[in-house]
Amino acid sequence: MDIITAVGILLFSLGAGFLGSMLGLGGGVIIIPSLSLVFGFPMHVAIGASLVGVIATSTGAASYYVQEGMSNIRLGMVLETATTVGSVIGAVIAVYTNQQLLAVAFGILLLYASVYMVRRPERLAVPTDEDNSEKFFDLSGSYVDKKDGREVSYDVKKLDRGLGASLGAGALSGLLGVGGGVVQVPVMNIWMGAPMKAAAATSNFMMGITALAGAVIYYGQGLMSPVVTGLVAVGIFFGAMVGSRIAHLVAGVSLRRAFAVVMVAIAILMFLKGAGVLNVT
Amino acid sequence: MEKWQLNKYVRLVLIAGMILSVSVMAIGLAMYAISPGSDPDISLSPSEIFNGIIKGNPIAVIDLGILFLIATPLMRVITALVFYVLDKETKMVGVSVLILVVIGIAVVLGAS
Repeated sequence: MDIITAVGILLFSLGAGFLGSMLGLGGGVIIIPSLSLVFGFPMHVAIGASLVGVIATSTGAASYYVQEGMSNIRLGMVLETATTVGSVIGAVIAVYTNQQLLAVAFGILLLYASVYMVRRPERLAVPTDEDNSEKFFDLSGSYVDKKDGREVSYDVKKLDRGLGASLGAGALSGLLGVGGGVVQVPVMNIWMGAPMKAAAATSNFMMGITALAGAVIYYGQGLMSPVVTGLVAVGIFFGAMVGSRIAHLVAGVSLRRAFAVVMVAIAILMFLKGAGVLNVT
Repeated sequence: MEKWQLNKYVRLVLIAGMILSVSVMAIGLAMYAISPGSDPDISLSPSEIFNGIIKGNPIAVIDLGILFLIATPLMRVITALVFYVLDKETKMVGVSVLILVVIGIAVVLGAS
């Protein structure tokens, strides 16, 4: 690899970590199209590198959220039993899927993510009635909201639906190298009744182990390029460190809208790549 | 054991893994920038990594960093497992073991 490519990958990864942390995304939706469209790497190499980048993002962010008590470790771990299974299934499918098809699937994911980013559906936590809340596991959580210093307590419900959706989110992660937060966060918030902040922090906490399950398959199958992966992980880590510290200074809504438009454009490029019209390799 | 203690230890594991893996990867990348050595596109097996580090192969150092990073979430599951065992929380012990079994299956599938 020449030095210009290496520096380029590092810069894109810094940008992915920086933007991702401000937009509430793992860097995957940014880094995969960059590696695939800009640098011409095969989809499998891009996905493998991105999975390790997701572990870096999750580990960095979770160490902060866990301290704040925002990540619900029990809820996260119960759902991880499903996301890891999904991730293994997704990664095994990806190994045998040709990269054109993966590019198209990724384009579809981008379209969904762009709609999600603009709409950002949110349900405010309401106290669950006793009959409805999860009984087998004690998954209730509480954290102190930094905005007003109040303690927020909540119960969790509909674990069966949550586990089913987690299986899907995990499969998406293993197949396409993303964290799965675009599925996991609304499921925990809207279906399971966790407040938005707890849902986002728990999703971030879970991503590390979900991506790990897929990453070991990519690593073992020789689909991971050490130099590309190292550059991506280091870049995303430092980018996210800066981004998360200045996120509160940026007007979130307009940034999300602008980025949603960019994602639609990237989705079109991914479709073109999938159709073989755009061949950068 | 108190809930916050689990949070505290999980956090320490995550931070330690993060610092260790990012530093090792950065050192490996710097070594690669100075003298590239072997093929940058093929990951090494654990024994190749061990031999490679002794010979100063940058790819082996980067791979070691990647493996440290991959191992970090695994370590936090093991940390939680130890807590749940000490706390006699049978259901959560089961959950932790199940996650480790799935990861074990993934490692076997990856290597096959």
